[in-house]
Amino acid sequence: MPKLLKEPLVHFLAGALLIFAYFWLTGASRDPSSYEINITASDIDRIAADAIRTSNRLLTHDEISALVDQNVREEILYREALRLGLDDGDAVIRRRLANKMRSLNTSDIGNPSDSELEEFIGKNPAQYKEYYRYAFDHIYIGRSSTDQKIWLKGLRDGSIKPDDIRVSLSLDNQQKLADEADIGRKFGINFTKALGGLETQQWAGPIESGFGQHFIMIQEKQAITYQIDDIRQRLTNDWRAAQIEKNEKAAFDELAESYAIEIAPFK
Amino acid sequence: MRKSAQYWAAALGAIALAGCSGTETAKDSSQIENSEYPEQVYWGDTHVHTDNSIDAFGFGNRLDTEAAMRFAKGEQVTSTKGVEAQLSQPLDFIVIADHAAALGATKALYNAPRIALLGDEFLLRWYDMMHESEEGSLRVTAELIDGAANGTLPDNFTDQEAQAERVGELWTEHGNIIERYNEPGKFTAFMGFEYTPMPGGDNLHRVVMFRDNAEKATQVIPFSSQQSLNVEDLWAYMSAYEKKTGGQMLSIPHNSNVSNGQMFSMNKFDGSPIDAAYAKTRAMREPIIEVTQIKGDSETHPFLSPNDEFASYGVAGWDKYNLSATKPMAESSYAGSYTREALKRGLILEGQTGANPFKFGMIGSSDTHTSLADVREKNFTGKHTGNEPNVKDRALAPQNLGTREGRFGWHYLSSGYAGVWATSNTREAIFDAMMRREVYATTGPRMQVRFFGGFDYSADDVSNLVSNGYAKGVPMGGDIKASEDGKAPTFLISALMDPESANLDRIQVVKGWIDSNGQTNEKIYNVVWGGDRKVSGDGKLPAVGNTVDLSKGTWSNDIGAAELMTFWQDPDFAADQNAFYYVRVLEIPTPTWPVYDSIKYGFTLGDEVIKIQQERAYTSPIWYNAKG
Repeated sequence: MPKLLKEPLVHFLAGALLIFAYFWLTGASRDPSSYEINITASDIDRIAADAIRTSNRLLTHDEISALVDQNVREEILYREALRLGLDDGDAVIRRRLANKMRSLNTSDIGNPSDSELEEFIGKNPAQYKEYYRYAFDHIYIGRSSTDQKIWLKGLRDGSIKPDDIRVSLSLDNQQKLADEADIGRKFGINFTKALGGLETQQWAGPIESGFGQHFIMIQEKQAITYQIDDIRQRLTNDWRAAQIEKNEKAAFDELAESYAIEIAPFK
Repeated sequence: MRKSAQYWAAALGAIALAGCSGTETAKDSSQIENSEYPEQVYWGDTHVHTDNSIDAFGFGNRLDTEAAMRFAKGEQVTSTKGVEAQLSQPLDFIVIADHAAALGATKALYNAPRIALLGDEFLLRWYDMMHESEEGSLRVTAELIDGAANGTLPDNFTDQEAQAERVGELWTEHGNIIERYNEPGKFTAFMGFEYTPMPGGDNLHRVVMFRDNAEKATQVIPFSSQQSLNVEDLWAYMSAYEKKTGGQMLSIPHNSNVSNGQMFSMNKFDGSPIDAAYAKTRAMREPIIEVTQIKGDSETHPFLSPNDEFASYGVAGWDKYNLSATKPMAESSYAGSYTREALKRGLILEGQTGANPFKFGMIGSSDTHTSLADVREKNFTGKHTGNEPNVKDRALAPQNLGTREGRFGWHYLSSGYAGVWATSNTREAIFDAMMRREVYATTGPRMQVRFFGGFDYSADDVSNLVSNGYAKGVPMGGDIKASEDGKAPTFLISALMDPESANLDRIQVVKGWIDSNGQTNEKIYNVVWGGDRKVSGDGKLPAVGNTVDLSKGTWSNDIGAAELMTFWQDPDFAADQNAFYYVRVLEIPTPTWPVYDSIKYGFTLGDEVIKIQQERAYTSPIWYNAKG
């Protein structure tokens, strides 16, 4: 018995049995190693429907019969080609099949429930958890002023009025309460980042925008937590994209798990 | 093993069901409030190609409509070549404009089972080349472009009936994605496509866009140059769509610079002179032009505007041969290729026919084939996948695809965007602003430009420029009627720099008019500028200076101005002569994208490479009508 276990022929047969068992268990009908070709009624419907769509007319019985014959011929040649190993070492087929496997995962995955979205937000807190809204007064003083410290002191003790040092710019001197993204759009993203570090209810700065320097008095600062309904569309799209990526990775990982991969060292 | 098989079976089942599931209804644009007048400029790109464009896919692009949407909305997207790309500021709207001709064909060919092609040697050769290597795919693309130019594409690519099924499915699926990303009030996604006629390699391309949702737009399939090379047939298709659905469409010509004088020809497609009916239809169907994009700038050419010292921007590489580089372009063709001259021709044709066919406003857009629309010099995402940012020699690489000789990577401009003064960020408001031409072009920076014309402005109105502008005259794109007492028209003009770009050098008014001899003329007025400079007797303003450090890719905003505004009145006005006025805003000199590449990868750029430029904006004109 132990001798038999070392016999290559036995290995081969056992392997064949496994493959057979697999296709039997999974019910996959197109087993390339089988010599049975079974064209079902639904196969015929599909073949006919394809042809009707391309030709835009109904087909005669003879025409359908010819298409079915053609299909059978193709299937025989296809299986023989696989038996001969014609797919092996063919870069085109290899890439084509790999590509097909990949695209299996980008299928439609439906819409998420609210609880799925809640969970998604929970996993990406930085993206959805909170953002700020600001209302502020600002005094634009141009690009280079040497008296910044004196002016800040003067603004705070009231000895300098905003209009004394203001350089005119068409942006409103009072910024109404707005999302930080909208403020960033007006003043540049670096400006918004700097706003976060300022004290409120008193003159501060100057901080720099794309236009130059600004003294800022923050009147109001609100931290906003996203509600699902406010950003449902964006969330759904993000969730779908993440889901597709996850599915792709999971499917690949599962496949890759069964492989022992060894790569020779190279420079 | 069984589990994994089940997984794939389920996945296959899901594919069969894909497209059947309804997409959730987006917020309705009727719920969005419109402002009384346009308070905000909305930024967009009307010209983005995805993997559904035959050439984009052939160049290697594997990013779809969804990736293009996510990128435009400001998210980080990994490019086909693996570059992590993100806009510093999101766009407000986008038009995916894939080539209608053979829409999705290279993707379908690539993804087809090889066995299906065994009977077709021609396609099989392309199929195998595409799968073998990147070079193979590029060669196929070059042959596709040549084939499209020479009319030698195989039937599978050109026969409308043969491709109707593929295109129909793709268009519907595309519409689903567009609807998923269109968010009235926040982000606008338009249905659109590109109509790509190229007789003899002369570029007559148009981006075509819908005002309507996908449900309406998918009641037709994109009109392709394979159906007709005559743009009048496109207009007829647009009319038919509008009649059928109650919707609305417009068409945006672009790359007139490589049209070999054909885009603004004085004749119709059949060679007969432009008549009133053609002129009226064209003006209605094509209210705006894409004047600047990656394949060069079409405002004007030094040959046409010898007195304009800024006329050479974006000309190099694009003025010697037509699009496919199959024909050299003579200087005599330029008049039909550049927009400033076309605006002048419009005045002539209006005199002859009673209607002006070239009464268009101006936008910029990218024409990117990477699905990614970033035209900041520092972060230029490339013309196509073959020159994405991690292709080290992209600035110096010859772009001689097919017969395309003499064009190098650095000839590509990192340009442009469309600025739209709309009353809300919705399809309806943005589309309507385009129809009334209240739009302007930039070569990338998002400067805010206002331009109003009328007879009643005074210098005092500058202090409250926008409300006075709307109250006493018309905005860019509008018409001013005949001067009653011979008074010259007055204008309010302002430009605010892009806070993430450079200071402004100057604002100019470009005037074109037709004189009493029927000749057209142009003159450029420097109307307001940064710094202490004086206009000389011939109207020229000294250069603003140059602070660019080529070794670092930096400049200093110590020259120029953050904002410029002024009142201006035409000093050379003749009340009986038709004229147009548009504004050109120039930034101070900054580095071009090849400079950033040369710093990043440590190579030297030759003397021939343009390293410093002045980015700019062009507004839609305001027309003065002596008889109106």
